[in-house]
Amino acid sequence: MTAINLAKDGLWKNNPALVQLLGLCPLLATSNSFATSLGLGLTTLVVLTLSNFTISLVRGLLDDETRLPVQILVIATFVTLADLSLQYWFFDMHQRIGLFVALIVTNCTLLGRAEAFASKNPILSSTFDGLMMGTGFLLVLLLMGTIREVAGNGTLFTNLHLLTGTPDMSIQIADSGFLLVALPPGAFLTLGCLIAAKNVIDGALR
Amino acid sequence: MTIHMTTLMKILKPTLLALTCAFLLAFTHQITQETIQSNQRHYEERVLREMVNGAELEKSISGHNVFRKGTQIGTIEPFMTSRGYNGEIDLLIALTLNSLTQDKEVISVRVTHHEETPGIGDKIEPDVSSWIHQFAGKSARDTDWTLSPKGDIDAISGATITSRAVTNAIAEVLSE
Repeated sequence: MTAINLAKDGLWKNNPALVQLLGLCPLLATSNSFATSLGLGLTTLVVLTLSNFTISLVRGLLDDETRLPVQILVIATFVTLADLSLQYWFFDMHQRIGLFVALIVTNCTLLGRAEAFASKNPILSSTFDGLMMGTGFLLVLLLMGTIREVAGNGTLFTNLHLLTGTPDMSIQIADSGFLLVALPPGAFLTLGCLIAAKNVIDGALR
Repeated sequence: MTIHMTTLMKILKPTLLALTCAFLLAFTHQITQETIQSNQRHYEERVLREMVNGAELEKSISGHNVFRKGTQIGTIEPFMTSRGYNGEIDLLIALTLNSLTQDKEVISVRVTHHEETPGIGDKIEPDVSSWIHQFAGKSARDTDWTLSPKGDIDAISGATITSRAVTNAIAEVLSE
């Protein structure tokens, strides 16, 4: 597969959040603000890229019986490393998304890419696949975070300074929002709308 | 013998990988631990100061004494309850003694650690919802420490067990 095809796959055609519908648990849980979306999206992107790289690296060593446990082991290791790094550099952010960082292990995007791609493909394209799938996931997460924060709370970029280390950047757009969008059911509704929008665009392009 | 060799290799290869992972984790833990703990301490100190609006704090045996202009106005006590929905809930409860009525009053409450359901029970965190702020100013005697509609405390919808655990914990500390 060429790099362009891999990029197209991860970002649009086979997007982990909009098409494969994988990793919904963290996607729905942390998408209520832009800052938490960015935090978890970036963590997932890094873990996915590193785990794809490592699994591709050791793919020759693994047998059918031990492949899955080793993949989970590699993913869990990188998630724990990411968790420690977050506590090291972004402690305040970790206080907000820490609960969900551990859940990245159960994000099926990671095991899905490990099993479907990285365990069968060379290192370079596996790493690139992880990068693209992770970016696709991050972009959808950011889009949902923006929509839900603006529509649900009437704010944008709340707590973003915890990640960037700059002064408070939150913008007050409206006094209050449509609360349903910020609540858990709103996450499903927003994702549904995004999937529908993608299908409409695909239909129009065809 | 050849069968034994392949079986052995099948066990050996994942074991070596697992050991590499374990070593990597242990090493990272070792070098990050000190900073993480100091981050945790700074975070806790900031939370404590926020709880009492910048009043002076002094360590006591179990928690902190709160001073304003040299006189003690209250205490901050840690409390742990395991009656939540999942795991333990750690709380910090700042109290003041009303000198007129001799009644204990809540200054503020913070949840410092919990494992409640994300998206539902995590509304006990002040960053997620303002729920925990309703306890400010509530006193031991003048408040019905049960959940509404019967009592004076509003519950988090969908997280009654979590709400009750926190409410009961505060009531217990107040009645001590």
